Amino acid sequence: MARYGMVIDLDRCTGCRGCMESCKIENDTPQGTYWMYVFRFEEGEYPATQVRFMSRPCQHCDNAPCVKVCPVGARYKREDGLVATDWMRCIGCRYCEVACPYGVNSFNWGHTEEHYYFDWNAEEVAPEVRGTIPPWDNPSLDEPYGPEQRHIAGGGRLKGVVDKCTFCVQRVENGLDPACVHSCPVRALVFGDLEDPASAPSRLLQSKPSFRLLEDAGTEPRVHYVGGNPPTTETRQIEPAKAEV
Amino acid sequence: MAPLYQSRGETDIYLQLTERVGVYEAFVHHLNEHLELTGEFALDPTQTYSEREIFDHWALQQGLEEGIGYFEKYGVWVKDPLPASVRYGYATDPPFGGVVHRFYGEALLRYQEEMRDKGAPEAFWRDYTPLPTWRGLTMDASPPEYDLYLISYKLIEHKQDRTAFMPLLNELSGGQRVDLNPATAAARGIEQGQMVVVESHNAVTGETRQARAPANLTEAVRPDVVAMPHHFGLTSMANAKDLGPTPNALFFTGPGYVGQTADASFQVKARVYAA
Repeated sequence: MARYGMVIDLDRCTGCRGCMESCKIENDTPQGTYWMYVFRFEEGEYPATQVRFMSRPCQHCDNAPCVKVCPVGARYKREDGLVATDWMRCIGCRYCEVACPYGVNSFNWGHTEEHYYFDWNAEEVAPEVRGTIPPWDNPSLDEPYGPEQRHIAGGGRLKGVVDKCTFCVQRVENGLDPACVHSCPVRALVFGDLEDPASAPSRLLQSKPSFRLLEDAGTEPRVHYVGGNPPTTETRQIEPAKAEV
Repeated sequence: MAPLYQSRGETDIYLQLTERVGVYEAFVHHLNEHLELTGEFALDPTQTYSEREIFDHWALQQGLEEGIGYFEKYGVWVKDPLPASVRYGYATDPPFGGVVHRFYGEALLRYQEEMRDKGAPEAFWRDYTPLPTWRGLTMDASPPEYDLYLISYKLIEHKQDRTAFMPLLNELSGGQRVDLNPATAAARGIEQGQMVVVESHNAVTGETRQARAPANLTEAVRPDVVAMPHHFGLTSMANAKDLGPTPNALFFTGPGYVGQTADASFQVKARVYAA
């Protein structure tokens, strides 16, 4: 069986945040929630200033602390490498949020329909859209996935549960790349079977020095970075995306 | 990515519209002409095509055996280097296609004299010079307290101000901000996120204009510059409101800044202080 992972080429990333946008559309995540986040970093002082970028999805760790602390087995590690959240089973205790050193978990504070970007049923909107499916309402997210047939796709499905990047399980199980990978205009994100040395991410990983985030934490992330360095204490975040909840 | 669910690409929409208004055949001929599709790769007006099929014809016509699949596989198609004459006027023979630019404009001198004789202020006629003539920048005549150069710029998330009605993009880009170098901000007692006033000065009329937005400190801005993105504040669309002012209002048009002799000089000097 393939064991999936992602390799992110920091040399190629231009920080456009297109991956953040396609993730939101594909996974119906509510306002203010980013499963994929592109950091914009600044280092040095003018005129020796450097701006660089780093995409950060869930790291889908092989030794995932979030899985260990989940008291109900809602967060689990799949055989294919994905770390999934069964939002039908999640009780919203948020232990996973505390345990994760990467800050990739999001808690759904409100009902789904109250936290999307337009009210599709609003009086002035409804006549225009005439019953069409809202662009953020991806029907494939309602399906169960994996041999376990659990509800693990999509974000903001229920109030009071936690969710995070799924590597777009609804796309991967249909032979497609995750939305962020598919939409990256400069092909900075590469997804595939990391156990296969001939796969695109494996070949990229072999071509340059690489690192993983918080390697010392022992979480064994399945997201690798090439073409850059991890952020340091000298790194300043600029232009944080503004949550509008 | 393919259009989601019930949405469709604009080319598919255009194709269906042309069918409905009865101009499909003419539209297909138009596509053949502009995409230079000929012979076996020309589109047939008796058939219907998807957007992908149309561009597949184009790619095949270009000699790419894989058709549009080539771009799906490789992203870009690198062609041979272009000769300099395709891009640069001086490399053509004769240079610039033989175009000769007027060096001395007697008419401009007459305009200048006419306006001066009728008592128009100097700002109106000083740029009507018969020979190309350098003069100092208008903005440099502003008082020294207006010590920053104001520039506006594009954010990668937005297209002009027409996308500022999209909450998804606004969430990514944030609203209006005033970019200042940290040293510049420190000299004025301004901290990150603090509301500030940007005040521009018209060196010809003495007019000042103000805009308020939160300070954003970044080493990517020169210490003598204040910068603001230009996507916010002009649109009438409801979702685009409350994102802050437009910097366009801080720039001046008129004598000294924009003239009729192509001497456009949009730059202005400004000062920034805590609101």
